Formats: sequence, C-alpha cells, structure tokens
Amino acid sequence: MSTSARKASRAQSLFAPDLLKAAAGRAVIMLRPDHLWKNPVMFVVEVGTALSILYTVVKAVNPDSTQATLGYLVALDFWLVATVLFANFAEALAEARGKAQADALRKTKQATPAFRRDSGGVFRETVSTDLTEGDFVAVEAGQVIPADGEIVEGVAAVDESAITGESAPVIREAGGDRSGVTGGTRVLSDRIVVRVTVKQGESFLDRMIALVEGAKRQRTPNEIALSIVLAAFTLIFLIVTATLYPLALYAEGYTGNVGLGTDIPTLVALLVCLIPTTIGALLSAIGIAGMDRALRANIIAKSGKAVEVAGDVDTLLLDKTGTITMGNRRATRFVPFGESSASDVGRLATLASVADETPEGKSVVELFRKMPGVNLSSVDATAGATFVPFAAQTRMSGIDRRDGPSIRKGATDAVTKYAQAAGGTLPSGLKEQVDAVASQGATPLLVCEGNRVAGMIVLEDILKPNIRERFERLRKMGLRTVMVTGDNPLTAKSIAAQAGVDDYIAEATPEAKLAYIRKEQAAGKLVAMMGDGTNDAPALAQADVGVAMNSGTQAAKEAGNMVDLDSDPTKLIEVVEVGKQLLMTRGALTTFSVANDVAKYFAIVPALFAGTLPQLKTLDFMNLTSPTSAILSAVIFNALVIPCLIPVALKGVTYRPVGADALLRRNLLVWGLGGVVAPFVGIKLIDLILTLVRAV
Amino acid sequence: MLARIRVNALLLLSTLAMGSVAYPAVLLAVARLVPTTATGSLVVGTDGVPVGSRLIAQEFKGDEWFHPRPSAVGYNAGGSGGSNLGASNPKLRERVAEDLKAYPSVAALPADAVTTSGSGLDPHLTLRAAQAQLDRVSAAVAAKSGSEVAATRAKLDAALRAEAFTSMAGLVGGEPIVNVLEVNRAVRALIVAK
Amino acid sequence: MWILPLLVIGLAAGLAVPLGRAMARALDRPADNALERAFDTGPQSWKGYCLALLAFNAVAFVIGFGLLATQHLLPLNPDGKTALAPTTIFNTAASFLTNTNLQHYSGEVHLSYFSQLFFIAWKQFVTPAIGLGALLAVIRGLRGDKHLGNFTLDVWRGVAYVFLPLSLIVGLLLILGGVPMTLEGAVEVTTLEGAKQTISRGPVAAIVAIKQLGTNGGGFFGANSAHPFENPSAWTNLLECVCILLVPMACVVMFGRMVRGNGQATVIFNVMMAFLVAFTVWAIVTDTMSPNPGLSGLPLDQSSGNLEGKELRFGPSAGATWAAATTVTSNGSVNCMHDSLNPLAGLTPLSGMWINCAFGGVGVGLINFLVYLIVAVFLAGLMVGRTPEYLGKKVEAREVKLAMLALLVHPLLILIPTGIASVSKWGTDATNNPGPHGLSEMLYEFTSASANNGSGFEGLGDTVGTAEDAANPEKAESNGRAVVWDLATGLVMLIGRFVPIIAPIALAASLAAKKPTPFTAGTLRTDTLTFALVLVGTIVLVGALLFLPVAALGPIAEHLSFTTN
Repeated sequence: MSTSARKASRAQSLFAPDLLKAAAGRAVIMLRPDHLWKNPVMFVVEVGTALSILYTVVKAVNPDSTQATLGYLVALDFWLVATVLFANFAEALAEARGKAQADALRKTKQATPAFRRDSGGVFRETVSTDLTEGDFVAVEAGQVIPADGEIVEGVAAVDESAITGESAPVIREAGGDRSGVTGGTRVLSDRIVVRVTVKQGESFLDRMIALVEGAKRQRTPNEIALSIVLAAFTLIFLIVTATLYPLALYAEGYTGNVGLGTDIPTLVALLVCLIPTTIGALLSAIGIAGMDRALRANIIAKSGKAVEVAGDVDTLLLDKTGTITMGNRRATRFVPFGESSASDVGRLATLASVADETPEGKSVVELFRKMPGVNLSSVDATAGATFVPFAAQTRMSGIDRRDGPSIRKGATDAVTKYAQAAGGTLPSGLKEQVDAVASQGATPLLVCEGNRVAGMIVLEDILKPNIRERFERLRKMGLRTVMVTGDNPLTAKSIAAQAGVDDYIAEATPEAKLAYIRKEQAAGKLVAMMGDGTNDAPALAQADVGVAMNSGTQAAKEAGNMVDLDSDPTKLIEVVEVGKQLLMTRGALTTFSVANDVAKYFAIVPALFAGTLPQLKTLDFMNLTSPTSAILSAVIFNALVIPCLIPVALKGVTYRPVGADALLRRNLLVWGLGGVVAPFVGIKLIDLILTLVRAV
Repeated sequence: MLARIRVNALLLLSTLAMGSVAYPAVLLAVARLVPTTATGSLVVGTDGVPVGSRLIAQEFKGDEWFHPRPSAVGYNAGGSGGSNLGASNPKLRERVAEDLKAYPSVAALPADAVTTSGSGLDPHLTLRAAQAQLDRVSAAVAAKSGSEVAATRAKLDAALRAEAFTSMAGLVGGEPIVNVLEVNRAVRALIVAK
Repeated sequence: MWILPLLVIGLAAGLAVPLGRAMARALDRPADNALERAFDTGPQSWKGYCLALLAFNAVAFVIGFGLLATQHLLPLNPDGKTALAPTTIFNTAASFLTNTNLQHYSGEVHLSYFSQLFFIAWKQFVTPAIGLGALLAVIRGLRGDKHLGNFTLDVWRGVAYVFLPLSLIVGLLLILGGVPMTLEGAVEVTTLEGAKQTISRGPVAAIVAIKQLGTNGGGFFGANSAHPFENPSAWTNLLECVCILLVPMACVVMFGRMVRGNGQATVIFNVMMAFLVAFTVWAIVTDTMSPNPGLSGLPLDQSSGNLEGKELRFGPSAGATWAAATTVTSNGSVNCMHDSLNPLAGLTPLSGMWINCAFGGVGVGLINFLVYLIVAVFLAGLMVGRTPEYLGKKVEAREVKLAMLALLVHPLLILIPTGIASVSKWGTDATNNPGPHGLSEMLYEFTSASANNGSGFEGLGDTVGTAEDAANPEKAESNGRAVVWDLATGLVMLIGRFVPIIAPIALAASLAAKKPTPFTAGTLRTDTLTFALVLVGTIVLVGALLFLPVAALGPIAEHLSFTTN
C-alpha cells in the first residue's frame, strides 16, 4: 500500500460511522468510577458532577436551598456529564480504531490445518492452535502458514498481504536473512518446512492484536510525567475553588448579598473549567492514536514506549543499500583502454557477464543494450562457449570461447593478475584511471580479452531521488544520520558525501555496528537502526529503537522493539516523526488546556460574585449576558472543545522539520496564544447563542 | 557523628562570633567617628539638654508652633508605625476630614499635612503644608512676641524657605520639604528674641 | 519620579554582575585553607546535604528560641525589656529561622539589644547563607556534579565571604548616612513645648545593613525602614533599596558562571527583571501617580500620590519602588505601610510574593524560579517533540513530581489558611479594615508567611508581645486571636521554607545522576527569547493566575468599589 493510499484510508476511517457508534456506547460504560479513577482529572470532574447533581436534586425537593434556578442547575449538570462523556468518547474512539484493526488481524488467526512432524519424522495433520515452540510443520502451496517460525527447508513465494496489505508476494527461503514467516500468511508456491518459534498465544499476531486493542497498553514515561503535572494542577485548582467558598461567604457576610459564590454546583463548574480537562480527556486517546499511527505506517511497536523513544532519537543508522541508494550498484560507463572503443568494452563485458547472475552483472548487460547503435547479435555468438560464473575466490566471471580468447571481467587486482599471468602488459595510465574512479565512490571493474586489458566498467551507486533533501530534513529535526555499508572506506566516504549523511561506517560488520551504537550511547545519544539479519540482532537489541524488517529472521524480530511490515528501510524516518508527533500533541494540548484558563477566569469570577460584589462586573471583558449564562457558556465551551480536538488528538499535531526553536514558536503561537484567545471568542459566541435561544 | 556535632558547633559559634560580636563591634567603633548621628541625631537646646532628634517627629500642639504630620503612634518614639488604614476604610476619611478642620481656608491642602506617615515619626512636612499654617503661627507668635503679624509672617516664611530642601537635590522628584523641629527652633528664636 | 526606580534597579544590576562572579569564584571551589577544611565534612549526597541543613536548622531554632525566651536574664538590656509571650517567641523563632522576618512584635518595644544582636543579627547572617548553600547544591546538581558540596562549608563561606564584608561596607555607609549605632538606651527629651518624649535607639546600623542584604527584612524598629533612624534620608533609602536586590540578582549571575551558561543566566535574569519592572511600574502608576481614592472629594492636593503611610524624605515614588523590590525578592522590609497602599497598588506586593521567584530570596528565589523553569521546560520540550531536557538532562517523572511538590506548597499554604481565617473569628476580628481590605490583610499575612517574605498589611492584630501582655486579662480576647496567628503563620513559614528547598535539591540530584544528552538542532534551547516568553507564560499561568479569584475579592473589589459607586 502506498503512503498516499494509507493516508486515504486513515482519513476515511477516522470517523467511520460504525466506529463512532461503538465508541459512543463504550463512552457510557466507561462512566464507571473504577475506570475513571485511573484518570485523576476526569475522576475529579465525575465526582464534582455527582455533587452537582445531588445539589440539583436537593433544589428540586427544596426550592429554597440555593438561589440558583433549577433550570440553570439542570443545564449545568447536563454539560458536566457531557464533559465526562466526551472524554470517554475520545478514548473509546481511539480504542475502537485499534480494535477494528485488531479484528481484521484476528480474522487471519482462525485455527487452520497444520501438518506437524511427529517423532517418527512423518507429517500429520493437526490444527494450528495445537502447535507449540519447536514443532516442525510443512506448508505447501495454497496453504496458510499456521504459526510464526523460521523456514528450515525450501523456498517459497509467500503472500503476506494479510499483514502488510502489500499484494505482491515475497520470497522466503531457508537459511539467510529471509527465513522468517508469519502465521496467517499464505504460501503461493513450493513447499517449505517451518520450525515454529513462538509459544501458543504469543505469536506475532497475538501480540499485535493485544497492542492495538490497548489491552496491554502501559503508560509511557512521558505520559506518566505529564499525568503527574495534570494531577498537581488539578489539586491546585481544587484548592483554589474550595477556598473560594469561605472567601465568598466572607464577602456575603459584609455585603449581606448572597451570590453564586457559595453555590456548590457553580463552584464545581468553575473547578471543571479550570482543571486541565481538555488534555485530561484526550491524553489516553493521544497515546493509543500514536500506536495506531505507527501501525498505519505498517510498523508494529512492541510498546508505546518504543514509539515515544523514537521521538528522542539522536542518531539514525541507515543501511546504504535500499535506503540511501537504489538497491545495488549499477554499471554506468564503459571506459576503453588503448585502441578499444566503449562499445567494444561493452560487448566484451556483456559476454563475460552472461553467466553472472548478480545484480551488478545484470546491470552490465542492461547498460550495453541501452548503448546507441550496438549490435546485439554480437553478444549472441556464444555457442560452444564455457561460462565461468562469478566465484568469491577468483572474484571474476567470464567466458571461455572456442573462437576467440577467453574474456574475464572482475575486480581490478584479480583481472590484472589474470592478464599478467597470461603474459599481457597493462595499458599505461590504468592505475590512475582505476584510482580516479574508486576515489569518486564508484567501483571499477576491469575487462580483459585474453591477456589484453580492454577497458573498465564503472559501477556506481545510484542515490535515491531527493535523498539529500531527506537528510537535510533529518538534520533540521536534530538527527544525525550514519550510513552503514560493506563498501571500502573510500567508496563509503564518497557516497556519504554525495548523499549528505553525517557519518558512515565502512566495511561494516555486525561488531562494528554494535560498537558504533555503544559509542554513540556512551555520549548520551539515542540510536535507532534497522536490520534484518540474525547477525543484526545484537545491534538491534542494543539500539534504543531497533526496527526489524518483517522479512528478516525471527532473531532479528525478537531483538528489535519494532517490526516494519513493509520491510522498507526508509521507514526509520517515519518512525521518528510518529514519535515526535506523539510528544508534540501532548505538549500542545496541555498548553492549550492551561492557556484556556485565562478566559475562563474572566468569564466565571465576575459571574460568581455578581450578586455579592456587583462592582466586579468590570472584570467581565466579554460583557456576557448574565452570571448564569456566563458560567454555562464557559462550561459548554470547556465540554465542546474536547470533541473538537479529538481529530487533533488522533491525527497528531503536524510535525515540521524546522528546528526546535521555530517549532516551539509555531506551537506557542497556535496552541499557547490560540489557547488564550479561542475561549474568549468561544465563550462569547456560546453566550450569544444561549441568549438568542432563551429569547426565542 | 561526633565530628558532625563538632563542625555544627563550630559553625554556630563562629557565625555568632562574626555576626553578633565582631561585626557590631567594628561598626560601633566606626560610629565613634560620627558621635552625633550615631547616637540619634539629638538636637541640644540652649541649656545643653536635648530637645529632640532631628530625625524624629514631635508633637506640637500650641498655635505658635508648626504642627508636624499626624502620627498614628502619638509621636511616641518608644514605638513606631502607621495607621494601616486602607483607602476603603471610612475611619481614614473621617480622620482626614477632622484634621482638615484646622485648615478652614485652604482649598487644596498638600495631603501630607493630614496623612499619617509610615513610621508615625516623619520629621518633615512639605513646605507648602508648613506655609498653610503660616496664618495661625504668625498670629500666635506675633501675639507672644508683641510684634507685628505681617512682619512676623514674613520672617517665618523666610525661615521656612531657608529650611526647605528637596530630597537628593530633586533627583528623585518631590516638592521641597522642611524639618519641623528646625523650623520650630526658628520660631522659638523669634519668640525669645522678642 | 522614574529616576529613583531606574537608579535602584540599574545600580543593583550593575553591582550584581561583579558580585555574582566573585561569589562563583569564592563559593564554588574545594576547601583550600585550614579554616575551610575545619568546616568541610566531605562531599555530600542530596540526602546528606539536606540532613545537614535540617539538623543545623533544628539546632538554630532551639538556640534562637532559648535566646528569646531568656532575654530578660541576659545582658545588653539598657531599657529593661521583659520576657516575651510564648507564642510570640515561637513565631519569631520560626520567622527568623526561615529568613522570613515576619514580625509579630515591635523591635524597639519588645527586644533587648542582646536579642537584636545575638538572635536577630545572627539569624540574618546565617539564614541567607543557608539559602545560598541550598542554591549552590541545586546548581551543582544541575550541572551534573557527583556530589552537591558540603553544607557547613557553604554556610561558613556565605557568611564570611559574602554577607560579612557586604554588611560591613553597607553598615559603614549607613552610619555615615546618619543611622544610629549605639549601645546606649532610649533617651528622654523635653520638647520645645515642654512635653516629654522617649526616643528609642540602639545598634541600628548593624541590623539594617544585614537585614537589607540577606533578604531578611526584619527591622530594628516596628516601622522598619520607614523609621527615620533606620532610613534617615533619600540617600540611605537608595542604598537600602539597592541592597534589597543586590544579592538575589548576583545569585543569577553566579548561576550562569557555575553552569558555564551565561546565556541561560541571561534569560533567567531578564525574565525576573521583566517581572520586577512590571510590578514597579504598576505600583508607581497606581500609587504614586494616583490619589488615595478614599480621600477623593476632600479639599486636598494629592499631586504626590497616596501619602498615607508614606515618609516625605524619600521622594514620592520611593514607597512604590521599595514595595515592588521587597516583595519580588523575599526581603519584606518596608519604607511605607503596605496596608495603606492604594488598593490596586497592593497587588504589586501580593503578586511579587505569589510568584516569589523574580530574584526572590537569597538562593531560594532562584531555586523557586528553577522549579518554574522545569515546568516550562517540560511543556515546551513536549511541544518540540522530544522528551524535555534542561542543561542536557532529561526531565522525567521523578523530576516533575518533585517540581510539582515544590510548586504546590505555596498556593496551598496561602489559600487554605486564608480561607479558614476568613470564616473564623480569630481571622476576621483581627483585621484593621472592613470589607475587601480586611480579606486582603489576612491574605497578605499568609502570602507573606508562605513566601518567607515578612512584610505585612500591618493593621492585622497578630501581636501578643510580652509575657505580661499575654497574662493581661483585658487583652485576653485579642491575645486569643494573636495566638492563632502566631501558630498558624509559624507553621506556614516552616513548611513554606523547607519543602521548597528540599524538593528542588532532590530534583537537582536526580538530574545530576542522569547521562547528559547531546545538544542537537532538535533540542529545545533554553537561552532564547522564545523560551523566555514560555517562562513568563508559565509563571503567570501556573504561579499567579490561580490567585486571580482572591485578588478579585480583595484588592480589585476594593478598588472597584470606588469607581462603580
């Protein structure tokens, strides 16, 4: 699924009617105090609401109990209840979205037939739910893989669309780094034997379902810290409101006028308006939505903490191949030596590459075919020839012809040795030309015909389009990028410079990666990396954010704290953005919530004492219609702002890679200043509407 | 533990020795260089007996004296303090209205004449507030000394102007003020001189 | 009119820079001579530092209590001051232990010279040094030191290197400026009119110098620096007002030096300065430039502003300027009676004490500010999409918990007791003024106690006085009220001092133990104008706005009662 398609699905399902319905139902159930207890802000609102309702009942029975009118009290109760419901709704909606995703996943998890190898070595049919760690199962074309595991035998094309949404089948084979298979996916061709690597109920799918359903959602460190701040604010405002009662009593004592300042439901209204209900209501939804966003990017985080940590990452370890460059190196030029022409070199190189199945070898053929005016038939004359495939020992491939000298193409030192051994001499300037190419980060290969070195093939890494801009963006986000490559330092340095990464690890071994991560971490940096092979596992485990590719080995997936279902190496960048968005959304909504208090003070405080100290009307800048209308307007604004901000909570505040300072300025302007101004406008508007409604 | 107690005791004793013994001792020694102000800026009368402190307001009731600002502590320099009346306290307005009766002919009396100072011992009065008392004082002084009212008034006004100064030479704003004890010594000189 | 505040703030800031640098040099180094080594019990963890701090304070409390309780038996008592009432002793012992210097007594009426020198002056030297020590510990934690220093060494250095030399200079200048410094008792004079007047005096210059320098504020006389002997002229007024701000300002400079982040310190200094300037301007506009609204319509010339409770010799804006300076710092000395400030001007001292961190008390002011800063860093840090960090250390749940604890205490200690007092006879009957101003008096008293400020709306009847007064049946009713005020404010001062000191030390130590994170383009910068605005916003929203309802019921309601009637 492409990014844009994913975005479309996201937008479309944000407020899907069935989700809304499910969430609305759950919002009512979640009113239970034992559930709300976990959220101190909303718990206080609920207790206050209960108190307010109690006073309303008393008023209904004994009309003299307070000077507030019954209609006002009922309206107040309604909106207080609505506040709690809106908060529950936000959380329920986020959960419902996760649940919908989980249900889709669960469908793939029905018991399927499995063929397990018994002690006698015979495969017998059983069901997938009976499988346990260490079992061996055979899966044939058309069958569903019954459990997570590793292929020990065979190669197969596997349809993983159930998990990744990607319809193109992928190749999975025993040994190497593409041996991992996931339960629920379907084998399309061939037969494989899979060793089950997980216990029942702990499969990848199980964990994924549990995570997206929020059943095992643990609060992340930043969420806990923020909860403490919110609880403390709530306590402070509880004291502010509670002490207003005696202070109002004192004022009533010397003026002799009773006002709303000693009316408990009104004080509850003030309390609810002052405590940070907006962020309190949306906090858990933000957390769930963060996981959900990661999932929509086809990344499965093993915990919410992993997503959050991604926002803090300082250093990204990126594999060169696939992330920075397009797949493998490609032949880009033929350089002739002596009297040969470029097309001669191309022809010889192509002949030598016929038996070379490596991507580089194929790219040589491709390049030659694209050369203008080449005679393609010139490379067909291979009848009776013996192909010499590429071997790690010789580092050459070639062809031994009957009607001409043998042709070899390969690493420069190997070919020069070959030519010299056959009694040839090296063309002048060969070494200089070879070095010149190597120093540009390209790889020179030599082609020789018999003992004559005819020319050079230049293999180059092709950078992915816009990769420089992408790294620039990362730098503005404060991230250092490190390219990991098996290339020699010279090549690595050149590509690093072209791509604009900050550092590189050349001739990278798993140990080198691990050492680099440790070095960065010792300097206090958080490191993210992506890996697939078993030998990446230690580095994945060591990294603060280790993203394993779904195509990778089980060991890699176990070691990392996220799995990328698309096995897309550029995904790290998205992971970081999701993490940053998660934190930003929390910060922005908290600031908004606290900034709202300014207007609420100026709406409620004059109203509270209008009866007792009429001179305080001067503080009512908004010039609201009446004290009760002022208080109701503030409460209604406070309640309505929650559903209005649900989309922000779920989608997240947009992250822009403009540097921390600019980002802060922007968010301060939008959420801080906006938080101060919005309620002035909102409350005034609601007050006007209330007045209008009453007039009608 | 014992070492801790010893260090704490050392800290206690050394800070006491510095702050409560050595420090005041040095300042007391310095104070001997300026004996008059260091003992309270006392003003000695003709008979060598102190009549007051230049810095401390005193009560003057008689018509022949310039009256200082009202005092919330009754000019008792064994204590000090203000009225602590807030603007909204009717007692403040009542008190000021009462004190204003002493200036029946003044349309806009400088407020210092009827407001109590923070210490209750403010020795100063604005020049204008002192001049607002000139009618009363010159009449009484003229009667006592048997001289002409207008001449007495001119002399007193000159004495007031001679005494007047502005704080920090006017740098910090404010209008000219006079030291009430000093101007009353001038009054006394006038009475005694006949 | 504006020259005086400009002079005060300009001189204080100008002198604070070299002083702060010198303080960093003198206070932040290992013990390097025999005398210092005698005080150095070795590096302390945060627990060790706090225990030492609490232990020394406990001893100092007991000794202080003992000194006051036995003053009638001790020497240097030329005027024969008698024993004090028990709750007056408790309140005074708590008040001077906590650097508050709330005075439920009158110096010239109740204290012997021995008590003035051995209790008052001693506490005034030691308690700011303790605050300074706490700040040093916090700064060492913030910059990641393994240990927070040594408490006894810090206090010794604070007294010997900072407060003693400064006090000697200022004391000398005050003596030259006409402040009495004598051990002779009160003098009786015969006025020109023939009346007798008793004039109290004493070793005034010694007390005034250290009371101004150490954000103490407890004067020799009841009227504090409004008294002509404590503050004889506009020149001494300028000097004393500069001294209020000097060391608190220098603390910020010292912080910048110690964390090698002058940019950090500059932001903090400027934000504090913004509050000081705003409060000063507000007070001058509402008090010096506005007449007393209670006297409007009378045949008065109020062109010099509200003169009730003001002295003439300092110049018209002196009271307002001092009121702002003495309350943003937790000094609490006064040169005019705050109770008689115009209602809106009364908001200046109240707000200064509510935020209690614009320079603030020696050491503790900056500590309070750093707590706000942690909260600001937390909110702003989230907004840039990173786990918040300050000076390269991550601010996480534990730090936030400690910061909120330190922050919570202040509003709790102000609002709860004020609420109780406003519906209790001991509260309302003690007020000197009716209506909203009475509420302001009670509010001010608890605000001052919690902020460890010590100034007051002094009309409040909170003084028992001598043991004789306490036993006087005629005063039984007012004594009953004053006893409650003594005990309530005493407790508020103690909690308000130690919780906001200990929690931040623990916080700093917790940060110290963390691995430093490197600075990147994604890191929130805490030395920019943007962050300064976040700080102002945090302090206003979190620190001040929650007092809006009480402000509305007190000073604002009082002010508006004039304009709307």
